[in-house]
Amino acid sequence: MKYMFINDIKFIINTKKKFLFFLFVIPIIFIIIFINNFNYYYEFIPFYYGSNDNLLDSNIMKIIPFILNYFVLLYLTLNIYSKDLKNKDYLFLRISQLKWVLNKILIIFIMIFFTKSIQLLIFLMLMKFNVNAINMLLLFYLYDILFNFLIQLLVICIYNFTLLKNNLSYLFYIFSITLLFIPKKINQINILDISSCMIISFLTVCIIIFSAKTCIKRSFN
Amino acid sequence: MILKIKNVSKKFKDCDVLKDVNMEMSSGKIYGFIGRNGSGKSVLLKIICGFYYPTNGSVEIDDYNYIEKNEFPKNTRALIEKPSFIPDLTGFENLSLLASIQHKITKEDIDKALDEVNLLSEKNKKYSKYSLGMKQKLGIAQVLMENPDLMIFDEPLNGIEKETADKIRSLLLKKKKEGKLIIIASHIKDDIDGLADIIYKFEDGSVNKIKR
Repeated sequence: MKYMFINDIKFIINTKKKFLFFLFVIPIIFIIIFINNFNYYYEFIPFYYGSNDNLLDSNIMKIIPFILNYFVLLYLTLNIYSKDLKNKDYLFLRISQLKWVLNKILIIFIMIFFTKSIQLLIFLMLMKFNVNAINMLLLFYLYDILFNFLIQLLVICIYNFTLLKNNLSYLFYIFSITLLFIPKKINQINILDISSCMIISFLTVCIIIFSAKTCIKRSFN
Repeated sequence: MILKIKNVSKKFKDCDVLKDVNMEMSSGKIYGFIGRNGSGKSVLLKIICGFYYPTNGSVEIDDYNYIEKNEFPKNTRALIEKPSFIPDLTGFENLSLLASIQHKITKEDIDKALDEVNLLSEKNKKYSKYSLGMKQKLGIAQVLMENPDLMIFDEPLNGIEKETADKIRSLLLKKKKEGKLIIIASHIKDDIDGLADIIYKFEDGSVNKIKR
């Protein structure tokens, strides 16, 4: 775990700084531009965390942060996940595919938790910590983490299957675009959404684990 | 340990890189693969490591076909292609991190491996500041440090000065006496001469054993 964790963190810090910058700076710009248009902070939350709850009727300003979060996290996840598959001599003779994939899932969760926590902290700082109903904000934060984690798991799952054959890679792109339409109802969260997110995440992790041994090894060919 | 390569072929698109290769290798010996660049040596090493599937045939260690089971060979370390470590960590930190995956060795063992490749005095230098030869030495130390039963080296002496190359040769001969199975591939016959017990020559996809 230590090796993979340090390796991945160094990789992101050394080569993907720009993307983290986007993830933190664009929401700040959104706050500065739009904060005065709202009476209550929770009306503003969908514009900060991004939402696609009603695509046809949605405000483009909610979709932009949604797409930004989606693509930046997707890009980082795929890079973290696929980089070890290109540099395998040191790692895979020392660690089983199962342990590797579990570590990767954990690292990706930590990355999402970390980036979302910084986003939350930035939000609180810009609001000068003058936020009522903090438990509601924490619920948004928790849901955002779970939703993004679920999306990354689904992406890894389909990525694993596309590793089986080179000519399956188009499926990955179609699937990634399709995932954009999974509704993220950040301002209408209920316990059912959160539990569904957790159950589907758990099932997806199971599929990833069961497919890991074959898919990862096949990717080397 | 007995490593059996049975009727192994490897095809990339329409190109036959290996054709019906058969070998049997056992512990306590050094095997040398020689051949021009692109003759299939590295491909066979990768097949042995489980990084490539053979198009046909099988690879077994002690009659266990690990490739068929989607596994990697146990207690094996390899240096294939160019070494890649974390650039802003020192040589020692890189090895310590790798060793932390299996927790089999101590810091003293890492120092010993670094000393064996004449890199101990440079262990606290960042990897990004290492020369090509030093990077190669660190790659070799990474193979040696956990004392595996099967050691695989692809062009290990590339960029390494004569003094260290001689030291590594003596070390490999010592490891052989300890009962390790060592495979070394090189396109330079002199790198393998005097070291390998059995040499296989790779040419146009086929492999011929040169008895010594």
